[in-house]
Amino acid sequence: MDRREFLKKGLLLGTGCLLCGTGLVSPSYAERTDAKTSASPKLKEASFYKKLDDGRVQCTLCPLGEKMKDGQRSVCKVRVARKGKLYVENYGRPSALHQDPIEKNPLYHFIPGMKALALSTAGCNLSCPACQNWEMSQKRVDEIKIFNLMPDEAVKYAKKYECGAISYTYTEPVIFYEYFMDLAKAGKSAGLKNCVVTGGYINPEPLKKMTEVADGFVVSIKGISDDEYGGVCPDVFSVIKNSLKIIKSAGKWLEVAILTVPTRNDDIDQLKNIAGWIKNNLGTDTPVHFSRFYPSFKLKNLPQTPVSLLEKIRKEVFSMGMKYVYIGNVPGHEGNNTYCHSCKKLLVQRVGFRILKNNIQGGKCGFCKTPIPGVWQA
Amino acid sequence: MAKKIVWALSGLILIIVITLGFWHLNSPVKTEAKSLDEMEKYKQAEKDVQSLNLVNGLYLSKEQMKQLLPIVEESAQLQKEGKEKLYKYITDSGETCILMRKQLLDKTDLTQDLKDKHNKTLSWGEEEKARYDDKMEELTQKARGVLNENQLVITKEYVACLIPQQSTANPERIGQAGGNKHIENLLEKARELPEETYQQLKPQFLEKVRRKVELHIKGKAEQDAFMAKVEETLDSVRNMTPEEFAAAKSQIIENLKPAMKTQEEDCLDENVKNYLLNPGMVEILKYKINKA
Repeated sequence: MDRREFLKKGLLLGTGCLLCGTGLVSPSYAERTDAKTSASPKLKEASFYKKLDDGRVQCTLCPLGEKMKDGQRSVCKVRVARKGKLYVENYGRPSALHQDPIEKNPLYHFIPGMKALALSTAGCNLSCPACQNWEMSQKRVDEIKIFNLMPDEAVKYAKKYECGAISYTYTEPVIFYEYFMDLAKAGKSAGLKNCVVTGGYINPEPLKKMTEVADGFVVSIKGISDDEYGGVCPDVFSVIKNSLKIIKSAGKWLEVAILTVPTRNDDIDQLKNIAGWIKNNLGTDTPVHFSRFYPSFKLKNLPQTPVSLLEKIRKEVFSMGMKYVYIGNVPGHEGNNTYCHSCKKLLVQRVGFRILKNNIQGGKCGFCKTPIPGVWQA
Repeated sequence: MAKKIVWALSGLILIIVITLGFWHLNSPVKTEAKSLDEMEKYKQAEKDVQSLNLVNGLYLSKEQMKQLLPIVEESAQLQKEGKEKLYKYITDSGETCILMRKQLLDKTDLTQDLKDKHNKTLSWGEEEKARYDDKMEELTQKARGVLNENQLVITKEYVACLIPQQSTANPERIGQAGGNKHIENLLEKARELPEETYQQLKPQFLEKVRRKVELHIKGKAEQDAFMAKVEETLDSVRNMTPEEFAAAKSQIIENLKPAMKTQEEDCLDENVKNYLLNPGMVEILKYKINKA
């Protein structure tokens, strides 16, 4: 190799490295799997998207409505455009898989003490600064440890380990919509309940389809401002409110969880406004959970939510007429318990996620026989 | 040559002198020299930390703390008087013993006066002890009455600690992926070890577990049964796929835990007495009431 040839090859190599480094010709996951698009279980065609005239595809799953050209990846990190089609990379590839008590969702009026096979995949269409699962939600499938678990296998394990439900939780089930739908259908056929824990940032049509196979929902509200959801998605709270109405009108069991973050959404009046909206639109039977914030992700500088604040807001929301108001993430607090809205006696005693007493009999208060809203039987 | 040896020996002596000097500064003799009052202070601080770790997990309301305060104050007064009475009892009975020894050196029996004195001290001590126990029991029940159902459970299950329990400091949260990391990590390690290493390390590991099990489970047969379960669990998790292990691990961990807990007694009253009615709680409650 003479000097000229050495310089030429060196320059080419350097340019190549530079381009790879900037991601311009990054060997992304989508391209690595390009050759096996149709056969590989790792890529599945997305359920909600449309083809645009200019060759791009537009995702219609959530209100972001991203338009993607060939090779481009979505904000949620798991959808990729390839040759005029939109594919999902997280089908059958959960990144978290556990057995959780149903209370961890938190579903407090849904067969207390039931175990659920809980799972989620990488990615999220929101980027909430208080996310406690950001190591998964803000990553691509190829950036974290994953399992290979097709729907039939997941159902098999759920049954083997005596789970009564499958919980789609931790990150955001909306972004693993295709996996959710297949798994929920398989679970339902096997007699399992399907419980969805979501931020509710989804378009009406796919959500309606979700309600056809899901039995219970927890919608997590992080605040009313877009900043609380990472500032990526516009008008988030309006979308969430619409989702809540859709779930309610579908007749599915619904509980609302509100993460109360000091200095960001801990204003009592604002929280009362949210509770007022829930009361007027979803009814006083809807359980509302005010959860304590623990420093996490981008908000490690903030303190934990004072328990006294959670107690105050719980009291206020009770006085507004809401029947079931809970305090979350404070293990052992009496705000974890369910009390009959009529006779005020202790119905379900919870310490952490453990059930110590359950005085609900046949869906009614064991003391005064008042019907208690919820799903009480498998 | 001799000069060199002298220098070396001098150096060695100097090093020994310096080392001894440092050793003396930190020697246990000095610790022993600390007054009993200081030791009492440290002991009380330790007890207060244990009380705080319970109280912080109870989330007592201001009202509850106000209700508890007079009970704790009464208990503190009772314990103070109890200590004084105990001191009086030890002194009286000790003085009697000195006289008894003196008499028994020369005689085979004691004078009636001394016997009476001893019996009087003894019955006084027993009466005072019974009165103290009754009053403490009454205060314990009063303190229990201030707590709600959940706080009673937390108090009952509390195991004294200096480092706060995870359930208070950093609990497993709603929607958070993951759970009991400690046991999970142990099982993960057992899964990852090569077969040969696993077989080598297994007996040592099981021995460690057995030592802990012996503290919690009574009866050799029960201990053996539990250890067989631990060994079977370790072997079985190694044969699971990553997916099955992930799906099963919580249940595996739960199955191992209850066996450890069944032997625990109802510690509620003991914990109320030891930690809520700890005299140091007077200051703790006053501080927390002011801050609430």
